[in-house]
Amino acid sequence: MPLRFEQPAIEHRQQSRAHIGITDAEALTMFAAYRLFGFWRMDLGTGHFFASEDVHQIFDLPYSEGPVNLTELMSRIHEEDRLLIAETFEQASLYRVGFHYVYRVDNRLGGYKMVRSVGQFRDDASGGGIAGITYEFVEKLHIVGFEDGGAPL
Amino acid sequence: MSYMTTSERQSLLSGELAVARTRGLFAQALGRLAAAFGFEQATLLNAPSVEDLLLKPLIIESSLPASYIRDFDRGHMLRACPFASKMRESAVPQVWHLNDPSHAQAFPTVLQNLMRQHGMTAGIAMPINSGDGQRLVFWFGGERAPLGQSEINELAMIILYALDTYNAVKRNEGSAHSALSARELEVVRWTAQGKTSIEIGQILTLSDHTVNAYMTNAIKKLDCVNRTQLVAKAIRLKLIN
Repeated sequence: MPLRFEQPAIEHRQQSRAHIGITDAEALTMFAAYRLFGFWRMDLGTGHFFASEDVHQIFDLPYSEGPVNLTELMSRIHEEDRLLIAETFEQASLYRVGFHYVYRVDNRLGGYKMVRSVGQFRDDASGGGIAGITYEFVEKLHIVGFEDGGAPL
Repeated sequence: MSYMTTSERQSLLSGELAVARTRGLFAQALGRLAAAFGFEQATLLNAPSVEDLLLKPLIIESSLPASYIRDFDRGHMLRACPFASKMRESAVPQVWHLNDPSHAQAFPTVLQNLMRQHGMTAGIAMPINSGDGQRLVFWFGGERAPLGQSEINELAMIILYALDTYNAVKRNEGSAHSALSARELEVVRWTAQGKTSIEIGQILTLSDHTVNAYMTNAIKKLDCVNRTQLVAKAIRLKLIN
C-alpha cells in the first residue's frame, strides 16, 4: 500500500470487565459523552455515505437518513486535509484496511475545529463498506463537567 | 550508532519520490525530503512573474503554516523577497541563512522578522523547469546550520527526481480528467451527492441500467475496484467539487 503512516497501528488487548461490571453499552456511552460523537458507513456497492445525527451536526449538514452529500461534507474540511482524507478512503476501500486521522473542519465561526475519524473495513457479510466513528476532538486540560438533572441521594 | 552515507540518503529519498504517484503522496515525500535535510517546511510553487503580488496563488504544494502565507501576502512581501526575480532569471539554487549578515541584509526587516518568527532562519530556493516549460521553484526552510556545498549538490540531484514525480502526477491527473466522458462524470458527481441510480436516472432522463453502465465504465477508466474508491478518487482528483 503506497500511503504510509508514521504511527503504527496498535491492537488494543481485550480487557476483562466482567469483574468491574461495565458493559459495552456503558463504555460507549461514556466515551461519547460531553461531545459530538457520530457513526457512519460508506457502502462499497453504491459509494454512498450514511451517517448519524452527530456527524451531520459536526459538518453542519441537515440531518437525513438517506445518503449524505459527500461533496458538501468534504467542502467543510480544511482544503489542506481534504485530499489526504479522500485518498485515505480510496486506499481503505482498495486494500480493505482500517485507518484513523485527525483533521480540521470548518466551525462556521470563521475558524476550524479538530475532528477525529476512525474507520474499519467490513466484509459483505456484515454490510460491505467502511464503517466508522467521527467525533469532535476537544480534549482539554483541567476541565470538569457534570450531567444535567442530578439529585442528591 | 548507524550512519547513512550521502549516496544512500540520495538513493532512499529519490526512491521514495519515484513511487509517489498521487499529489498527497508527493507532498508527503517532499515533507520527508525536507526533514532529511533538517528543514521543517517544503513548498513547490510557480516561479513568481513580474506581475505577481501574492504568494498564495503561486503555491502548488506547501507545508508552510497558513498564518505565514497570510502575513507574507498581507505585507506584500513577494516583491520585497530578494529571490523572486532570481527565480526567473537563473537556475542556480539560492541559499540563505539569516545569521549571516551578508544574506540577512538582502531581506527587508519585516520579512526577516516573519521568517524568524516561524523558525525559518535557513533555507534554499531551487528554480527548475517542468515538462511543459513551466518555471517552478522547490523551496525548503527551517532552523538549521548553513547548507554545505555537498548538501546543495545532493539536494539538486534529488530535486530532479521530485520534478519527474511531479510531472507524472500531473499527467495522471490530466489523463484521469479527460478519461471520463461528460455523462460518466455527471453520474459520478450525482453519486457523490448521495443520489441513487434510480434518482440519477430520473434527473438525467436515463434508465437506472444505463446509469449503472456509466458507473461501471467510470470505475474501469479510473482503475478502481468499487464505487467507494471511485467516489473518493474523483474527489481527490478534483473531478467533482
